[in-house]
Amino acid sequence: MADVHNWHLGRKMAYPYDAAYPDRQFAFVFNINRCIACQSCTMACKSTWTFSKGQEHMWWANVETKPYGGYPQSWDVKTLKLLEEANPDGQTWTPAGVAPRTAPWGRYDGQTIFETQTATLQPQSSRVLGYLPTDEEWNSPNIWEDNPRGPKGRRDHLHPTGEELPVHKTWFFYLARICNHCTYPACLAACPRKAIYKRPEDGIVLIDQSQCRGYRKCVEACPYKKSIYRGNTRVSEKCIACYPRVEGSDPESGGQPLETRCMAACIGQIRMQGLVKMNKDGTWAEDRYNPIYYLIHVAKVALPLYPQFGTEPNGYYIPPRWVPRPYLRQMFGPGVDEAIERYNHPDRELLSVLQLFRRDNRIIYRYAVEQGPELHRTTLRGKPFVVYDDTAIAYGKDGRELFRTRVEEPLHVRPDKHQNSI
Amino acid sequence: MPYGDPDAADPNLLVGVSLPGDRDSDLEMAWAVAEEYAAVGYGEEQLMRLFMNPRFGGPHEALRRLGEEEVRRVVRECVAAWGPVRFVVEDAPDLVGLRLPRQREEG
Repeated sequence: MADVHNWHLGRKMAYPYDAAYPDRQFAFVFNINRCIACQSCTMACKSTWTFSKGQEHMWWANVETKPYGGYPQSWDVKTLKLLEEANPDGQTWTPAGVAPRTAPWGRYDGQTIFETQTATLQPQSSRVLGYLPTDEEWNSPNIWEDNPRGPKGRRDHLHPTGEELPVHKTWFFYLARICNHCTYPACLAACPRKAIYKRPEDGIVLIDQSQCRGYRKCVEACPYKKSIYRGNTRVSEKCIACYPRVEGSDPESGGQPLETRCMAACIGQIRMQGLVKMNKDGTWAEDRYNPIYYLIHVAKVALPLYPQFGTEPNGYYIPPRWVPRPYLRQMFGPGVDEAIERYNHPDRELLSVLQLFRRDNRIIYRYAVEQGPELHRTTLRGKPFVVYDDTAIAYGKDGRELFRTRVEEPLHVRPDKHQNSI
Repeated sequence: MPYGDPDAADPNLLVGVSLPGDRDSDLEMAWAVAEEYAAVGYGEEQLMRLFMNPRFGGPHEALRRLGEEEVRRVVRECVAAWGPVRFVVEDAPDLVGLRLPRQREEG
């Protein structure tokens, strides 16, 4: 085991391989507050990559309902339980020693899935704490989630007092997920064939199909369960981050790096994906006006999913505001309270950057904000709140402007003469 | 199991379990829903109708627990903060804001 620095955890961590970091890292931010679980992302991915025979159960991108749902079922509950058994009551954080880019949320004191081997790994040859989901857990995503309740056997008939049933009482939210293309991938660590690799140019994690023999160690190890076995080819497959689009080699792209299919299809405009610059030590290089860097390191509104697993996932989430905080702290770590406070009271720059989500499919490398006039001032949640009609401008890889968008986006209404012209 | 009824003996099957929620999370629910809908153009009465609709389980639960007066206060503040929405009656102009792939070649 090597010692690597995990900046999510604010400390060194054991990992089976020496640290090696890409020049840039594929990363994304999802604003859960706006996800409506329309599954457009899910179907965009499915229709692009996993529509073939043998892939029927395979959803590289999925949206599940929390706290009830999961694909595979109970994936997070089961991994959290394994961690708890290996290290009882140990999943705690120490707020002291916060440092901007090396320990933004303090230090994690518990064990990661790479550090529990002495206690629980079965068989002993395993390198990562995990479990293999059953076929039943894989084959019915979203089952029993959001089911409108009605009398059994009566189609299209809802229960007259449905709101009183003890289902989804009080709160729930939708969690959109793809592979996190982790900095320390558990799938890569567990593969006995070394068939999994992380690309040096963009940090995308891929399975070499010619090297894989379908041992399913990656399926067992990935705590997010985003490596999936395919029965008819007898190898495992996973999200490839639509790498032809990210490279700019997709015919549609015209040479410009494009965001992935699941990002591009998001009608709720909750998703933004980019490529962040990396330092040699694995931290993110200062890139103040990259929107992904800004949201995570400057505005601090987006947080990693289950950082305590230890893989340093590169998917970040703006947490849902209405969910009880203990649940959110378990899911997104100790940065939750600050993230929600900042999202609830967005400053001028954050309000502008939030407008950049999904205005274009090309990857944004840099943004600028042009200040506009004050629109109105009031109070929001008891604090002064001023809205300015600023303009956010996005730039692409070649430094040319991609688009510009304003804080106050007018609602365009079709004129009478064109009401029925479609 | 997935194609039949849930197995009640499965300890990991959380469906149908009522999880604890408190007044604070109901208030947060009311704020979040009111803010998001106000931002897309809902007015005070439209928002109140949404909260009163029992099919919107979360907001309706918040209304029942917090009371109409409290929810209306939240709604008013959100509408004041995120409105007024400006309506422009025109065909969406070409090549402004969204640039669709089909249009990119022309630009």
